[in-house]
Amino acid sequence: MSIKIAGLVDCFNNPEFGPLTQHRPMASTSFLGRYAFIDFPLSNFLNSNIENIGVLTQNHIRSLSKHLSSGRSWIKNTKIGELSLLYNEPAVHTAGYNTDIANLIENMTFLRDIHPDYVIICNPNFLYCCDYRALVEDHIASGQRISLLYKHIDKDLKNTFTGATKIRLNGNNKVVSMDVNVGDEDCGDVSLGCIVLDYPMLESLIEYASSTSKFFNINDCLKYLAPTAVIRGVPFNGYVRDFDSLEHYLEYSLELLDRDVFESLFDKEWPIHTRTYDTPPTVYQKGCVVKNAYIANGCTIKGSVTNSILGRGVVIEEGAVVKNCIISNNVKISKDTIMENVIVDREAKILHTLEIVGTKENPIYVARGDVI
Amino acid sequence: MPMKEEMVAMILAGGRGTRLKSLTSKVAKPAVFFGGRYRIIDFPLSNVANSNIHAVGVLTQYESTALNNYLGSGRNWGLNGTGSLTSVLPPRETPEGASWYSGTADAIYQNIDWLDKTHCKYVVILSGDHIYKMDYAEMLRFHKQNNADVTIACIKVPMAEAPRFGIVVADENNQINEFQEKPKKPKSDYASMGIYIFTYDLLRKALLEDAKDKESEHDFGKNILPTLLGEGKRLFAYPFKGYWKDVGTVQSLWEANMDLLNGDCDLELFANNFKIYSADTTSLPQFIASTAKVEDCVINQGAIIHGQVKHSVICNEVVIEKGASVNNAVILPGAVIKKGVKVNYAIIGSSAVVENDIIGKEDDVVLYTVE
Repeated sequence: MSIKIAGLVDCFNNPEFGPLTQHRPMASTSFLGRYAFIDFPLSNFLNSNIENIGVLTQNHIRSLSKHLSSGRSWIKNTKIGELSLLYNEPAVHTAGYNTDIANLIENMTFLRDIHPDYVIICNPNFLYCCDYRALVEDHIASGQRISLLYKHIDKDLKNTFTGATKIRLNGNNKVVSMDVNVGDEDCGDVSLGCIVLDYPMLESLIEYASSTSKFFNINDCLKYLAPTAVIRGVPFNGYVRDFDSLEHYLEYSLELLDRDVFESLFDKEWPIHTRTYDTPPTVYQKGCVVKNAYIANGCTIKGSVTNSILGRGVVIEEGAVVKNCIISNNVKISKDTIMENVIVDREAKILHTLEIVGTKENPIYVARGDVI
Repeated sequence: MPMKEEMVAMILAGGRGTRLKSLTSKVAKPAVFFGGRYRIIDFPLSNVANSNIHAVGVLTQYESTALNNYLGSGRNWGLNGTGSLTSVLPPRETPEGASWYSGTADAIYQNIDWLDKTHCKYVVILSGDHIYKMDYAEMLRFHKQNNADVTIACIKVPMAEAPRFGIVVADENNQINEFQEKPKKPKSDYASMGIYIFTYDLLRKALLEDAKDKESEHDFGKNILPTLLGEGKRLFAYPFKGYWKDVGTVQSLWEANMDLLNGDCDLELFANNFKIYSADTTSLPQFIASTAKVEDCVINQGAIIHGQVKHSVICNEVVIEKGASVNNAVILPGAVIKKGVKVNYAIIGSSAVVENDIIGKEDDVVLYTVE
């Protein structure tokens, strides 16, 4: 019999995108007009034939449960497979206690029922495509108990992966220390928040964490263990971005307009699955000008859109000019409005302002449902 | 199947559609792509879903594999919920032997057992190859109000085109006095849309009678309806107002796609209500490059546009390369228009790679497919 793998998406302590993540976790925040960030880890699981999946949810459950729905978009066999939202109701109002470890303890029956041989845990803020089954097989072959995926960064680590965990490795690729990236070095190795371990190891990790500190999360626990236990570092060589702030959300999204960058993330053989809303195709009307843009379905475009990303059902009226913007679902930009470096949250309507211009470093944010 | 449905739907989807030429060499006509992201059969199936009908049988025959796969459990149209039933009904072997569906009426006749088990009171019979939005629940209300035996949805057509249709002559109360199937000299411009509501008991008897008739072609238009009219049954014409198009030919399929580019098109495909549902694809977001020039077109997710596109409908995963120019065209999924190639007045089939110019005429559109 083949090995059984459970996949966990850890939505605890993910970065916040300011007001954009006020009503939703970053995991269900819109990405590239068509996706939510969590589609990437879930598609990595699906494409790796891992179909017992738990989503460890810290808060904002409504947005996540709406996106995930029955979970069938990311499950091959809907009887054997399962996608569960794991929520720790009692801990939600006691911040320190609401950790991924506490969530796993509260939802222990989920993993016990699956009875996996191995568990893989990943974080949705690190955007990449990875064959997790190959990673697990490699982990098994290594004979070690814990493997941790990391990325070597040669430059600009000071300004990227903010708040992520820097790791130091010895000559045998064993992780010897783990520290928060506070931007003191320009290169180094960073954890991608993805670990593989056997199920008994996960149980002892949870036991260890909860007996050491009730406030401990998985990452704290690994940090604590790193000097003494064997955590094996596994380098990741593909495209990866840590969506760690609103500015980077804009920058990394627009960076994908470069098709070489795009193709280093997306692979035809590795489809990214998302849920369908049965939105009709987009209508480009006479006189519209669209250049260098990703456009989701259901839009109606009469104006001009350049270097931008539009979500589903966006309306750009005549004479409106949209440049370097991310526009979420069902937003309306009315006639002759100029928008530059703006992130517009869903259902907002720009009706009474003729110009909204931010900068790349300080994009302007328009909140969900607001009329401007 | 312990169900009791007031009205169930039967969709006739077995036809080859020879006039669609090579578009239907490997798939049945109802599975042909339309409107950027749809297949033709998405329209009747979405209408069924939006009309609150929960049991549908789809009669397939010609090149049915792709169509049967597409239909599956009815999930794409939400017709797989608790208490719902989507049945794909190709011809089958029975203790009496096996036979193909020999006509529209015969196809329904061979599935009387399926209809019996739904315990339905009414049956709405539909074609799998028309583009329109229609609430069959409204039509059923009309059927009941008129205490009708059969209600036929009808639409006004230009007199010149009337000989292509089943033509009805109805009085001021919409009761049908005469039915002419594809008449040389039509007596009216009121055409049957091939959408019928039958009171099931009556339909059942009529089908059993028709099956015994060796002379019959087992066709609703040619046999069942004229016979019932002759017997003095109450046939009514339901006046349909709205967009409706039979996309039976390459030219009409192209025209129906072009109609979507007209902002005033009554189909209202882009409206938020009465949605047309379809299978989802794992397409990437559509990309319009900085070298592209797009206007007056409809483009689906997954398309990559580097060239110029005007007055056209572009399906998912289509690639329009740099310098290519696409005008007045319908490009089906996965087709590639290579660098510098010109396409005008054409339908380009799925996965075709176009390396030379394809130029048709407005009244004689070219079809280019992978052989």
